[in-house]
Amino acid sequence: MSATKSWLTLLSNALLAFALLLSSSAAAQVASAVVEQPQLRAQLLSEAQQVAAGERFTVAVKLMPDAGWHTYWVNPGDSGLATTLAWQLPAGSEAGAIQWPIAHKFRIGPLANYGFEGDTYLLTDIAVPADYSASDYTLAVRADWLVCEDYCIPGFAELSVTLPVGAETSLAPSQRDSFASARAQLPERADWPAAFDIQAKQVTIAVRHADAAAMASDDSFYAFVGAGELVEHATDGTVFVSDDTVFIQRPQNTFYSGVADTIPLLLVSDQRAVLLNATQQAKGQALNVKGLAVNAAVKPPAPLTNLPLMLLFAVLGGLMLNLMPCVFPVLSLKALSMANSGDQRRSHALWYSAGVIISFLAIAAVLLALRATGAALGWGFQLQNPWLIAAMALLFTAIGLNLSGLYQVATRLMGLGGSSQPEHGPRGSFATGVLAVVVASPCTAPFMGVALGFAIVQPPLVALSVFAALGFGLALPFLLIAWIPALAKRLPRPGQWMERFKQWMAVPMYLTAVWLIWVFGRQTGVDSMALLLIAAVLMATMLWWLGLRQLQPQPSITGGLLTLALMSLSLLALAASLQFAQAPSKTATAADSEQNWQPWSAAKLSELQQAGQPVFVNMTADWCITCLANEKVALDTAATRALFAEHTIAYLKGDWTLQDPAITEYLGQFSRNGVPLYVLYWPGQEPQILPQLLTPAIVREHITQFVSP
Amino acid sequence: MLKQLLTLLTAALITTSAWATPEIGQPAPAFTVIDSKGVTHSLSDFAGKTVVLEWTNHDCPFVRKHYETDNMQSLQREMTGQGVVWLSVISSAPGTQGFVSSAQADQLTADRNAAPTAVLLDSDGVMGRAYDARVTPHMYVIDSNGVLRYAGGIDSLPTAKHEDVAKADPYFATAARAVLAGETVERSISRPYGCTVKYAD
Repeated sequence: MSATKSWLTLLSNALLAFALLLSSSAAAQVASAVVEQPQLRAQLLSEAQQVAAGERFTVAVKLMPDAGWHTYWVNPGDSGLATTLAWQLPAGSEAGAIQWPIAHKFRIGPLANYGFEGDTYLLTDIAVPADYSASDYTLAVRADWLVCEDYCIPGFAELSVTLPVGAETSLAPSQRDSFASARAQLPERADWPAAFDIQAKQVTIAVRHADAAAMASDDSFYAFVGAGELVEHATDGTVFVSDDTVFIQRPQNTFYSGVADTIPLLLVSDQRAVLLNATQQAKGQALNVKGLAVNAAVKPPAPLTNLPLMLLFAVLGGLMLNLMPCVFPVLSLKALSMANSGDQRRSHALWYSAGVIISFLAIAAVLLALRATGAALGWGFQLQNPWLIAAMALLFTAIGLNLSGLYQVATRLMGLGGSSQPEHGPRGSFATGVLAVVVASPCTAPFMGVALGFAIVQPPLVALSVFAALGFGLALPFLLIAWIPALAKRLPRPGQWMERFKQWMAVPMYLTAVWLIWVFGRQTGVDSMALLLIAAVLMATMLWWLGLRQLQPQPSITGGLLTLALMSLSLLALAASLQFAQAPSKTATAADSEQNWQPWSAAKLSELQQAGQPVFVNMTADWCITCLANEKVALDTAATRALFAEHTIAYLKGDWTLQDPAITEYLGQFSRNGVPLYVLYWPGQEPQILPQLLTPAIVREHITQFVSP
Repeated sequence: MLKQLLTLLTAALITTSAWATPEIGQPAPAFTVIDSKGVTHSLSDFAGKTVVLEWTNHDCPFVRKHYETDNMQSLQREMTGQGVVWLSVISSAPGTQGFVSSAQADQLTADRNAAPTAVLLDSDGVMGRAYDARVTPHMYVIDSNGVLRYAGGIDSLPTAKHEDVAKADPYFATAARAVLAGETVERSISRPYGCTVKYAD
């Protein structure tokens, strides 16, 4: 009995010891002992239960402060101390930087701190050296923290874990939840372009990304700047969004004494937390500029930018021209005659095609020349320009109405083409090609309008290629028939279907007009859009009237007068819509596309001064974030525009992006070697230099001081 | 729309409202505060003398670091020995950490063998806010012309570890010695580290 009992005792003791051994080895390997310190307990956790040479694994220092107590972020704010981890690792190992969780802001009287409440995991990646050969791996860390409520207690803990080394890293199932909650506390990482600069004791940070803009429009948005003593922490500063760029302006910290070139920036809203790097913008450094240059205009949907696709469409368009009522009958006749022309047919077709394509290129060249003249005169052909959008909307409406058959485009060239007799030989074929373009013009004109409207916003080479492709498309059936004469017999007969086809083609024209009107509406507002639609109605009425007159053999003078009257009315409505355009767009957003400045030049400035006009000079550069911010906040605003207009102040802007020597010299006159520089010239007064940081109030004050009460 | 208007207004406010910030190279903000002996001190009383301001809170671990290592007392002796006026300022509001009665203040000075010229009791925080003092210890040096020459931390190592006192670059002491020697201060601003000054809200 006693023997049995003692055996049982022995067995149970042995089992207990074995169980203890198992549990202690499993627990001690992945989690250190918990170190108790005043108001905070600390522990080291390993995500891996076995590590391997040459591999990485993640560990966490878990801080468990008492309720209401907090530890600090990498930038602790006005006081406090970031937690530090000092690792003691086997030789050759590397410990990464702390992956900080999403910070919170704590207000303490007039000051602010950044840190973490509740269980906080400070994650660090550990790299085991490739030549590590020992059977276990011990990592030790000394964690130093400051834990604060109203008052603060510094504390530290020395923590360590020992892990077995194996062929590969394996994760500890017991730690899965801890590391999942640890990672849930981490911000997302992003590489959104971000830069900051310091001017006039203000720090301006710009982040360019649509997501950042979306975050910043939320009231809960806050930017945690990961550098001590760069910005003031307690004031929220100013945040504003322009298109997809967020500007964050904060007063420079009173105890600012320098900053690293790159700093962490943590953007937090109720929905998201994103960590990025912001780079200090050096003077003249154009590297980041393109990523950050702010596009003030409302962007119209981008036109097609894929050149091969564009050319394909142009060829198809040209091909379709052959189906038009005034082209197709010619095509069928030509095709038949050509199929019968024997040996010469190929060279005939080639010369004909050359004639067509060169005619199209000539049209494009005229167009480009016009555009260049226009640009020289200062009116740019850009889709951002509401004038051009409105004109194109009307053009497309007119094209659509023409295709629907409301009126005809009659040209005298038609007769010319019909009467000329094609010559023989290459020259004859070439001339036929040219004439084909001319003869087809009544039907092709609307389509040419489309190509024209499209190509006008493209670079010259692209515009030329598009027109050449159109010509190629038009000539394509001839080329095909020249090589495969049998095709000629397959061509359908001319007939009523051609007219129907033309009328169907009106639909895409109307839809294009709708798109353009929508873009115009986005740029200018609903009121202007309504006026543009009135212009379109008046124009349609005029075209309808014109169409009626085209049917009369003897047009009456009164009818002609009515046409003229309707045309001028529709132009008036168009002009009014653009005049009106400025009101809503100015108040709605800072992004006002209407330009109210002229480029600066020394000559222009002195000319305006001699004319006795007040002048406001703005020296800016693309890479100058403060400059851009000032323009958004204080210069491109409805109030300031109105103020400039009211006092007929000429606004000159100098662009120092490429360090124009003339501007450098001008800056030198004011003992400046950088931008921004704002100078107000009032007749009979000394030039006034405005602060480098503008508000609408500052601009107003400087102007109104000169205006006699 | 409303938000944009608000941000504009805020921008206007931030830029136009005068920030009560002490500036290096500018006259130091004036103050008039009673000390633990009941004597009223004003900055103007010390014209012609170099003045050191030390914000303190005897229970703050960062202050204790410098008192328990005798660093602060040594600096007080060194400076006052050269005619410097050393003012320890307590801006803790009543009921907060570091707040003391005048008797307690004198007791602390005796217990810690400290040697300030006077201990100023700024429990309403007026002087602290004028100097934008944020932490304890927060150090300022004002030259004999009343111009602020240094503002910031006591040294380069923002920790509460006693052993770091000897390892740190003593920013404040270097600046104060330069002012006394009539030299330019190389580093006139540094990160103030320590416990938050316990201002009345």
